[in-house]
Amino acid sequence: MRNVPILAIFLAGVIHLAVAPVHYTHAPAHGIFFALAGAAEIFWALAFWRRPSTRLYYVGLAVAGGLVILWAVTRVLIQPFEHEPGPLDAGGLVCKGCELVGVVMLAILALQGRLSGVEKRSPLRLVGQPLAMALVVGVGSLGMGYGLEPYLPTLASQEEPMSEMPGYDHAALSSGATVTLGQLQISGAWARPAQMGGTSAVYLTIVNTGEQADALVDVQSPVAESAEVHEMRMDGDVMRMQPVARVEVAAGGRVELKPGGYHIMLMGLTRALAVGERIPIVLQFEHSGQVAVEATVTSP
Amino acid sequence: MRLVLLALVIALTGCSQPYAFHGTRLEPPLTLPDFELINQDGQTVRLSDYRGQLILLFFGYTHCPDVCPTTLAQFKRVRAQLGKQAERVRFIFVTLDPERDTPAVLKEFLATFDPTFIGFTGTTADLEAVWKSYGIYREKRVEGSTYFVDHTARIYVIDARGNLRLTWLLDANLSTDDLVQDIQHLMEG
Ligand SMILES: [Cu+2]
Repeated sequence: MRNVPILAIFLAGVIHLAVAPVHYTHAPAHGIFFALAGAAEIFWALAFWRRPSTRLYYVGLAVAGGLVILWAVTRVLIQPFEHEPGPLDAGGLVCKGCELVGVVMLAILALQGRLSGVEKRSPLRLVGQPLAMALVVGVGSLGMGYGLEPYLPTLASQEEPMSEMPGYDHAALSSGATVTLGQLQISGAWARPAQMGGTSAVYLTIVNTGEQADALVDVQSPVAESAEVHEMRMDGDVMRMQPVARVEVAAGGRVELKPGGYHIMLMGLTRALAVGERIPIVLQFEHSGQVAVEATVTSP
Repeated sequence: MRLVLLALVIALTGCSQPYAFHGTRLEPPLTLPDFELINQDGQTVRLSDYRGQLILLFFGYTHCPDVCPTTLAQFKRVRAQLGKQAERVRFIFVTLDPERDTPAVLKEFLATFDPTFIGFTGTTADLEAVWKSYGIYREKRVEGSTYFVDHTARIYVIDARGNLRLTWLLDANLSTDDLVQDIQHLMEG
């Protein structure tokens, strides 16, 4: 029975270590933190398994509990070294589930006096004290992260925050409405789900309500090493794809980027694109200038 | 009486138009060599393992940005429309990019569409033989730090006896209904 919480925390440590490299690519500070946290949990689990003690009991609850608190707080507050709160992803939930199971079971076993090596003490000392310690660890590491961030800019996320992009219109984007750029209206942007390092395609519709023709001449996205407009073309039996330098949008006209036609190709994805996420795309037009839109990752 | 019946039969058969396939029919059906590749679970499989079922064979690659995901999404809709009949149909995706499409990559890619889809990969030499026998054109095009593969966009239908019966060219006019009608006709015939 005693081994279940130890195994749960060991597993949480393994998950932390496994995802550290991915986190390192989006923000090096997170990668380093995940590696340290994972190593600490694995080290603790092995130590407590071999020789449980009262002191180690407190350390385990403080570390695992602190990580759960840190995780919960950063789902709401902006994470240190990042521009936004963290996602509620499956990996994170499983990892936190393990830690929570570990912490709660350890506390219960200690209260029942069934943890050999751990002294039986009052509930206040066995539960209240580690809870306070976990709070200190969780909030303290968050504060330390915020404090260190200005001094270690190279460890921060290199993804440009959406809100600093030219033409960013938060109200329009969050309402899911059409983004307007002068006489152009851009709507219905969606992207295909893809793995990190892979490729994705973005589709959208451009309507020109004005009397002057315009053209899409460049595209960019912070989630891809490079982005280009491509066209699919049937050549006999063969489907060919080629880059196009510009997509003309006639006065009063409408151009749809859609499967089998034009798409914005995202190459060398710096992270995986999961269904439901929204990713920023910057469009550069010949006359109207630049605008940022958000594409929703959708499985067609 | 017999004459009346005979006249009725002739009238009925004469009236019913022969079914017009949306795809290109192979008459007589073509017998292509069987092949052995690796599926997305890393197991060695032969195409003939699926004998007795209708096979929809599609050649593509997981880094394919447009046609391949579009086709697999359409396969998913075909499967849904077929309902219970779908149990007698197998959807097989054969890679054109063995360099990047390992069994694990194929598995993750296909799972985003339908876990019942089957993925085939293997050594380049083994795959080349398969591409050749199906007349697949494949051209690797390097762009920046990555590459794409221009390729034949056809779906191949292999019947329960293992013969190639029908192919569909993937153009914008090919609808899910077209595929479902052709499949149902092949299963009845
Ligand atoms: Cu493309």
